[in-house]
Amino acid sequence: MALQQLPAPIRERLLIEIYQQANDMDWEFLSNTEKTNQYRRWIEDPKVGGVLLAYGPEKDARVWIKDVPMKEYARAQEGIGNYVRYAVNRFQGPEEIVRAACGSGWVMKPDSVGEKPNHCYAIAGDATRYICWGRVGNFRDLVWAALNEAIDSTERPAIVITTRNGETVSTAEHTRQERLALRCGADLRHLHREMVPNPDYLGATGDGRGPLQPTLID
Amino acid sequence: MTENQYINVTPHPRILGVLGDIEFSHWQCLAELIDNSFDEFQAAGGTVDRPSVAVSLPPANSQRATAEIKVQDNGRGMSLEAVTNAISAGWTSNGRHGSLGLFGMGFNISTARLGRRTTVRTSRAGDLDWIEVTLDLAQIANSAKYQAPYRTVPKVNREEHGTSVTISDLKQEQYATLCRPKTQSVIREKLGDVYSYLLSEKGFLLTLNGKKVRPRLPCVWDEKRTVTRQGVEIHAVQEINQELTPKNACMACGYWSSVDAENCEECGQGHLELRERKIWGWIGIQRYLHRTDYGLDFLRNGRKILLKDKRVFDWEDEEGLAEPDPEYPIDSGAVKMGRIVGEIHCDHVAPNYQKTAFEFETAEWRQVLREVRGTSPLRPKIAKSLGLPENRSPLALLYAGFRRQDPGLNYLIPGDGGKNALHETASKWAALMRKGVSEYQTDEVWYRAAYQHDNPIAVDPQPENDDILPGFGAGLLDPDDKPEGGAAPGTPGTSTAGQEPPEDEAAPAETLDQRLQRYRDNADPIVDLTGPYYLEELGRVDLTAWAVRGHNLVTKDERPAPVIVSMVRAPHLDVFVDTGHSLFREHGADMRDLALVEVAEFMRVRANIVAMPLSEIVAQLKSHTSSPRLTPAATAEESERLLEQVRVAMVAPVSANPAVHWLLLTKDERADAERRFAVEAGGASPWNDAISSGEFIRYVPASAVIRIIQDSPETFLDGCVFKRGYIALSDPGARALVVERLINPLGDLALLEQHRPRLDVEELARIRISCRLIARDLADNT
Repeated sequence: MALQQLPAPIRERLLIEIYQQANDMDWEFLSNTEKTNQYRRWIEDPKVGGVLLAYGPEKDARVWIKDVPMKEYARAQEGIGNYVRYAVNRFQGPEEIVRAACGSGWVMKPDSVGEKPNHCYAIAGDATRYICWGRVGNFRDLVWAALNEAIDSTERPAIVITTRNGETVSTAEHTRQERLALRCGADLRHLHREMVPNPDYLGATGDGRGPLQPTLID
Repeated sequence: MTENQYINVTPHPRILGVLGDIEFSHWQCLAELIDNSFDEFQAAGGTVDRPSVAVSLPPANSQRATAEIKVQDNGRGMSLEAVTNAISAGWTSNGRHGSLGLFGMGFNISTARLGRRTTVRTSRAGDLDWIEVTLDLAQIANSAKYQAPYRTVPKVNREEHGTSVTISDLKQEQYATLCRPKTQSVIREKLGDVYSYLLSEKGFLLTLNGKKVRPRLPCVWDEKRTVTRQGVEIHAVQEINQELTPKNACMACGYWSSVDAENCEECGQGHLELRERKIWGWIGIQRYLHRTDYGLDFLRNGRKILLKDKRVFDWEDEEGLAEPDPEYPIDSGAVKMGRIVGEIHCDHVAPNYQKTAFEFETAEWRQVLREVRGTSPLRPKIAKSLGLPENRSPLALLYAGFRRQDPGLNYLIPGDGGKNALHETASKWAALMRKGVSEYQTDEVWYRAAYQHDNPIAVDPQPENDDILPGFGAGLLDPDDKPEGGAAPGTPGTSTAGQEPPEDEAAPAETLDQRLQRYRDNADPIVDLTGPYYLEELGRVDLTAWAVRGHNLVTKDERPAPVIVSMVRAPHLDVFVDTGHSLFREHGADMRDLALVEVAEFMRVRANIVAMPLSEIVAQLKSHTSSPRLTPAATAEESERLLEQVRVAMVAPVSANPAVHWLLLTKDERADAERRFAVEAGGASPWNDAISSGEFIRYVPASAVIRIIQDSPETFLDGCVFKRGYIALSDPGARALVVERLINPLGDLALLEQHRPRLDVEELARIRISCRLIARDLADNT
């Protein structure tokens, strides 16, 4: 992609700006039309498009915003991937998922976090369990991943369906998911999580959420 | 005689189900539940991280048997004791001032209206379990007892907290409507309006089926914008901030008793709570006019109870005997359009149980009205004629400043640079503002259009070489001026037509983008052409039209042209017009028409339908513009409006010597005037007063207006009614010419007002020009 030659400080400044704006507008609750409009607005925004367009044509700039920062946005909020430090707020991380899925006594196996779907392993003594998690919309992927694990492992895998503030799962859906998981030999939990200010945040927020970044001040 | 015998008056448990028969619309039912959550957030006072409420309605592909409605919040949650109290509160209705806020009657009414089973699930951070209470209306009715079973459910995450209300066993009709996507988006919009304050100012998050409910934000002029009336600067936004004395709220009946009362002054009970009270908010001027979309919002605890309320515009006398008299809008011709809006918070005023109105007969509500609109009529003359004091309330101030809708900065109304107000365009811009388009977030676009109205885009005037000697140019008196360099130093863009500034020639090859930017930098937008155009076969363009001054235009291929178009990014098209080009300046071609010809050609070539007649495309484009139509009706309306302005301006000079002018009228004209007075003046003051005050001039026929001006031009010219100078001229012939030049166009206006003759296009065009000439000559009469 033509925009990969973005100088590192500029790239960082753009990522902080885009993530900050996405956080302020509750990106995850926008409709597809609203998201499309926002991509256009970012191109017109002097702080985003105004900078990006100096490094490539508009089409590439738009693709970059969509495919680089925003593709990673949800993962960054989970505390996963290379863009975590740009997320203003995020969830606590896999430990919270492990607690919800297995209860106390289990801890996350170090360096066991993976993606597609988000997953990790939990250990207690000699036992190891596979845990995958995601939003309601990813339920199918979660079931498939858990099924594959169940075949290879002696421990029961666990699926955690996560909701955040502003999100809710209906009782009917809830029941159906539990029955499906049971049929597949997996445990199922529904976990409602709150976001916390990102402890690894890089941007300057001025409210104590992260260190000031001198390069950001124009 | 027997004593202490009682009849049990406990209502039958069936009453709970019957509550559902009360007329409540869908959004109202949901709002009742959302209110409970928002009340809780406000009571928690910022202890909840991000106050959020998720509403879910059954999707279109759901089954009624399993469908449910859910309202879930992340509030602090309740203990078993609290949830018991909360749920029974609705049944016993304690706490009229809503300190409990939770689960009043509204909860019972709205849940019973939507379905037959309601489950409340709640827990606090740190609790081990959820408490789940089920209100099954059928079961309660059958058991003949008010009893609801509860159970505890272990929590996955002990730190989770909040409350959810789930309604299931939905009523057939409610379900059928609610699961329609259209209903859901209507509800989303409505909630965005009702809760706009809490969503935008308090950072509350409200989602409906996973999509954020957006606050509907007011589209008002910035408070720094002002108009001046009688030497007073009036800001477009007026703050209201009235601290009231604290009072004792009766928790039994709702009455406000004085601070030192020990028992309620109304019902005598002793459960009083001292409360702070305040009326605050703002009223202001919307950037567009609308037939219904204006009026004041009144809020209680952050929620709108009255939306776009127009009763503040009614004047009622003290006794309230006469019908309320609407005072605004009254000057907007056949279709009444208004633009005064506002947000008034009055938490202490009791709403009705449906939260669709306040208790209007209370002293508290009347005090709110007084604070906003005062007690006298807004109309100063009516107030005076009734012997009432001048109204100086915030609303009266806005009324004085923005009552009229004349285009231009004088009333802050976008205009087309011709003579028309751009009401429709202003509304379209508001829609873009609400969609979040960045350039419409401030009032700049509207302001520019109002400014442009006063400083219209027109063909550049002839270079003023006739002041000196033809052929020598204006530089004759400037010894440093080089013969071929028309541009003044430091202003590269001001060369005369046909002479490219040397800087441009010398500059390294300018890119197309740079060239277009240079054009824009030296141009004013032509607002009446600017906007979206959509033609069935040719697709869409978002046009921005620019009137470029002092720069010769060249096409992409470097060919000179009076008008060029350029599409930088689809569907955005720029059209540039060189206002100094001889085609316009010498040949009198219409620059707007030519601009549309180029746009039409662009669209035709783009769609590759060159068989389509160019002129037909121009005609279709033209029908989309907001430029004024040359129809008899539009021209007549314009003539009447201007004559009305002339008459209003004449009142003051005529009042200096009313009898002299009155005597000039014929018998018929006096009768005409009296008849018009009878119809239009509303009968507030007698006709005799109008004659002696000079006010009569507002009602005399146009022909008489002209005769009066002709008779004593010294009274009305020299900036009094018309700008034209008169007194300074000593030659009688010159004086006569000045009057003649004024009377001729006025005569055109009068003809149209009085006779409505059949006119062809050329005559109409002449009258339109007469209108422009008169408008240009009117002295600022406000």
